This record gives sequence, C-alpha cells and structure tokens, in this order.
Amino acid sequence: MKKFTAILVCKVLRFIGKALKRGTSLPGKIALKIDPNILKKIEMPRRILIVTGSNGKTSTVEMIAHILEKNSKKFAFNKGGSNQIQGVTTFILDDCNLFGRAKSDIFLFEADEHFAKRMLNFFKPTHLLITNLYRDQQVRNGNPEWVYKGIEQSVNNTDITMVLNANDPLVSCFGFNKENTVWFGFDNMIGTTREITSVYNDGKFCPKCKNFLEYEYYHYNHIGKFCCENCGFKTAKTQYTGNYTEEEKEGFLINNEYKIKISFENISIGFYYNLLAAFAGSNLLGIKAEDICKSLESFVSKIFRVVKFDLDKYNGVLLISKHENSVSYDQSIRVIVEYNEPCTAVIIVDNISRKYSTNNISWFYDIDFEMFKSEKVKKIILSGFYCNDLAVCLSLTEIPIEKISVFEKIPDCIKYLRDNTEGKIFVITCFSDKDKFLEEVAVCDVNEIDS
Amino acid sequence: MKVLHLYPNLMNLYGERANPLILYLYLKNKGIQVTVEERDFGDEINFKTYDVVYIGSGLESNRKQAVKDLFKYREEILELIESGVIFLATGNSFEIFGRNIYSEASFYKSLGIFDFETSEQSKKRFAFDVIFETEFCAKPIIGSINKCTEIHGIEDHFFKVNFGFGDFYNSEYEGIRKYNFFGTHITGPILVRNPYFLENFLDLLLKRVKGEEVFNDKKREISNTGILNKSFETYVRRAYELTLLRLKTLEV
Ligand SMILES: [Zn+2]
Repeated sequence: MKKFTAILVCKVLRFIGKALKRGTSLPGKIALKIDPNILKKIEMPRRILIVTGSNGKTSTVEMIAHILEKNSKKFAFNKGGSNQIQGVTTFILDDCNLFGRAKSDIFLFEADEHFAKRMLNFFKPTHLLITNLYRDQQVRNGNPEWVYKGIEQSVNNTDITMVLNANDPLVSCFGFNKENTVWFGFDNMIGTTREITSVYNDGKFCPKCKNFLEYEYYHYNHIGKFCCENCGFKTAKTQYTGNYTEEEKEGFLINNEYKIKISFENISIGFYYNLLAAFAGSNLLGIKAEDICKSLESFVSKIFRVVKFDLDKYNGVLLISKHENSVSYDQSIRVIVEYNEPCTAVIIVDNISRKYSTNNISWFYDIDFEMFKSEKVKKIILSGFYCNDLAVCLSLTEIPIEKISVFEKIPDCIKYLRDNTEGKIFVITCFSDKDKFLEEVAVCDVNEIDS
Repeated sequence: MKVLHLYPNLMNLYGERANPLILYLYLKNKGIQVTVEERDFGDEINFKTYDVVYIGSGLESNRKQAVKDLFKYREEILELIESGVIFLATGNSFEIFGRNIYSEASFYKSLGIFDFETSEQSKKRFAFDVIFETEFCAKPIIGSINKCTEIHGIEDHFFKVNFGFGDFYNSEYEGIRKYNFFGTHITGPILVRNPYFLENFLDLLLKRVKGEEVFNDKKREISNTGILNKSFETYVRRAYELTLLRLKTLEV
C-alpha cells in the first residue's frame, strides 16, 4: 500500500511540477519519505546500465542514448545526470505504472563517481560501466583510491555485470579474477609510447599488492597495458578491443571487424575510449554491432566538447576541459600541439569549481604544460582569477617566458588577442568559465559536426 | 647542497613535485651547487648525506607502504631530525613520523619519532582551504587540505588556525614543528604558493649549510634571467595576495 501511495503521490507531484516547470527532486523526495524502500519494490526493466567514471561519462551515455533511440528501443535516460537520489527516484517512478512496473525496457543512467555509490545502495543495475578513475575534484572525490573504495563496497558480492576499462589499473581492480566482468580497451592507438609522458604516474604501483607495475606501453597518462609480476594483476583480455592505427586514420576498428568512422576535428584521445565504451554498453543492452556502427555515423553530439568561434580575422576553437582534472588538460594540450600549425593558446581559470568553494590549484602541477614548448605554439595567454598561479606554474617549466602573457580580466585577454594573435586560437577552459570568453567572441555553430 | 625527495612516486598526489623543484631552482639561481635526489620505494637511502628532506602526500595505502619501507631507517632518521636537519613533510606523509596509525578495523605502528597518534576513517573526507599562522613567518600561510584522519597528541604546534581547522575537527592548531622538522597536512605546492614562507625556509637552510643568510630581503637581488625574473616574483606575490584576500572574505 505504501508503494502504491508513494508512486501515486510522486506522479501527481511530477505532473503539477511539469506544468509549473519546477525541478525534479521534490516528487522523489516525498515518495522516499512515504516509502524509503520504494526503489527496491519497483519491477525494474530487464536491463539497467549505470555509467560512471572521472572522464567521458556524459559523452558515453549520450552516445548510448543516441544508439538506443536510432534502434527504436523503449528506454528512459536521466539526461544531464541528476546527482541526487530524489531526482533519480522521480525519474524511475515517472516511468512506472501505478503497480510499480517500469514501462521502459531499458534504464540508462549517468552518475558521477560519488553519487554512483549512493545510487547503488538504493537499487542495483544489471550493468555498471566505469570509464576511468583519475585525479579529479578533490573536494568531492578526495583521491582516486578513496573513490574506488566507495564504489567497491557497493558492488562487492552483487551480480552486477561490470563493464570496465582494461587499460586503467584502478578500474581493473573491480574485475580482477571476478566473473561477470566485461572488458573494453585499446590494443593499438596512435601516439602510444613505451615510457610514460605525463608528469606523474598513477600506474607506478600495483593497486592490488603495491609492487611495481610493469607497462608494455602507455596510450596516454597511466592508461595502457600493464602487468604485476608479483601478484599477476594485469590488463585483462578484452571483449571489446579497439585498434586505432596510422593506416586507418579516419576511424578505428573494434574487434577487427567493426569500423567506427571519425569525422570530427580536434578530438582528444579520451573520446576514442568513449566511443568504444558506448559500443560495448549498447551492445550489452541488446543492440547488434552492425547497427551500432550505423547509428554512430549519424551521431551529432549536443555536448561535444569543441566550440568554434571567430575573433575578428582569427579562427578559434574552445576545447572544453575539466578544471581540477589534469588528464583532461593534458588531452586538450595534446590536441593543440598535434594541430602542428602556428597557434596561440589561451588558458582560462577563473572559477575552479561550480559546486564547491575551493582555491586549490595543486592540479596545475599535475598537468604536462611542458608540451607547450612546441615551436608551433607561438603565444600562451593566461587569464582569469588564477592566471598568476598559472603563470607561476608555467614559469617552472622550460617554456620560454617571452611566450607567456597574463591578464586577470578576461576582456583584457580578448583585447590582447585582437591585436596579437598568431595563427589559430585555441582556448582551454571548463564549462563554468567558457561563457565568460564566448560571450565576447562570435560563436560559430557549436554542433557543426556533419553526420 | 643535497635535497632528498623521498618517494616521488609512492607519495605523490597533489602536484607536490613543485616543492623540491622550487627549492632547486631558487638555490641554483643563487649560484649554489644543488642536487635533488629522488629515492622511491625499495631504493637504498643514505639519509646522512642530505641537507634537507622533502616528502609529500600519497594514497592512504601508499603511506602504509612508506612506513613499511622506512622502518629500517628509523634510528637514522631520528638522529637526523634531532641533529637539526631540515625535514618538510606535507599532507598525510607527516603522519608517518608519529607513533601509531589507527583505522576502523586495525592499527599499525608508525616510525614513532614523535609522540602523536593518527586515526583514520573511511566514511568522510575533509577537503578545504586554510589560512594558518606561524612564528616562523610574518605573513600567513595559505593552502588546501585533503584528509580522512585526525591527529592527537601534538605539543609542538607548527600552525595556529586562522581559517579552516587543524589536527582534528575544531582544533585550533595544526601540524608539528620540532627541531627543524616541519610537518603539516597542507597538500600541494605549499612552498610555491607561500613566497614569504619559502624565503624563511631557504634562509634557515642556508644558515645551516653555509652559515649565512642569503635570502633575507635586504640582500635579495632578483636576476632578470632564468625563471626567477622580476615577472615571476610579481606573479608569485600577486597569486598569494589574491588567494589570501579571497579566503579572508570567506572567513567573514
Ligand atoms: Zn600486484
């Protein structure tokens, strides 16, 4: 009876809420008050996938949703990834009939790492896909191991199928010697190195036994093929294997059979992993491989992290990156350096976090700014509240100091660019700071990627 | 002059490589012959040969490894610290020098150079910005902390808390400063973010090694070459002032 009341109240409140354009958390909140165990009593769809991880979860989930849609699946998807259990409750009950049976055949969720563990306490998905676990947002996440432990407690001794990045050591811990694990990863990738190139190595020690971890190669940062001689922990054999080689530059192959075409420019390496993860995820949700490839060809991402703009006679690209996340910055810098034509790089850090009050700039020192030594990068402009901290950080590298200019106010930075840009402009900044720059320039179509 | 960067990989989480780096660059810029030696887990370490030892913060599981690895050097380290060799330990690394580290289920013995004790929990993490004060430096220290532990039993406090909290929730004091051992839970590039503290730290170092103060303001000359040029000094100070000001507005 409690269940019935909770669903009914939730639906009524949601109906009113929709009419008044209110948020989604209140109906779920009330429903949980009426019956705290409501989510355990729902007859869930046969397949539920939660996607989590430090980087790439939004892109991955968006792609999976697109694939499901193209293939006419009845699914529900928490677009935008509400990170509150109340919002998720509203979402689920909204999809149910009054007897508590889900109408959709598939539920698809995006959850940040912190929220994923909370969510798992309320209901269990059939599949949990983890893209990667990096140093990211100290206030929310502490450190990668802390995040790992939080999620581990919630998935331990469950029959959830884990869908894991085999090239990430910490993520691989979830599936080491465990059944019910599906692995994805890249064998070949353009730009793979024998030695690590980033400024820190989070793959130095085996996360299982703490002996040295040996790497055959690194695709980027500590993502690669690893093995611990002491305990046998290693990159698992992958069921979804990507191969991205010079010969097939316009795309990459999955399992040597399925070609994923890439027609966008300025793509960061992480995006290839997102594509592979989306392939694995949607295949596990019942979509045939051929159909996934076809659907991905028509994928136009609304959240694609590249914004083209014009500033007077100059063309520019803004690479949306994540503050507090050195891997994200490394990848954006790599896009700039690999452009390999004269260019001007701009970095804007004005507000470190949208959610938290933090002045922690230690992550600057985890970024491989040394890449900017490249002769093609003619100028480096630093702007925003933390531009002086950035300038200090870059001064400790071997980048010639004459290349660097510093502007606390973003309009001053733009004024300087109007008269002093060399080549193309590349801007690195995050979601919360991007508009402070974009509102001063002429933004071209954000979704200019042809299908 | 020899700087030991202890466990640059094992104890490495928050951009703290900047601390030994700035020491190196400043000393080199002053024409002092300086080397930074890195010793990681399992390496042979001859502690007696160093003038200053730096160790940064790491994963909780790695800190445990560090304790395991350092135990055989306990007497050597104790002797070194008592003789006044300069140690800077940031983040959870300074817990290594206390007596015991308790977790919810068990505990392990730490080096026991100092008498304090650490208790660790896995429920809540505290990550916050701080302003601290110390007799060692006329200007306040700014920084960020990221921890899941409480420390009890420190008598020789390093800092008085101005904003944020100290060794445990509501504690007015933070860290330990005894002999020339400086231990604080501030993580990240503390020496880079606090130029005034860095000056005094270098003064102490040079006084010990060369018997002179090279870095005090009157004798300070700023060269225009290399990284330590005038604009660098401006950036460092401006960054410090801006952050301090912002933290002070949060305080109210
Ligand atoms: Zn191992």
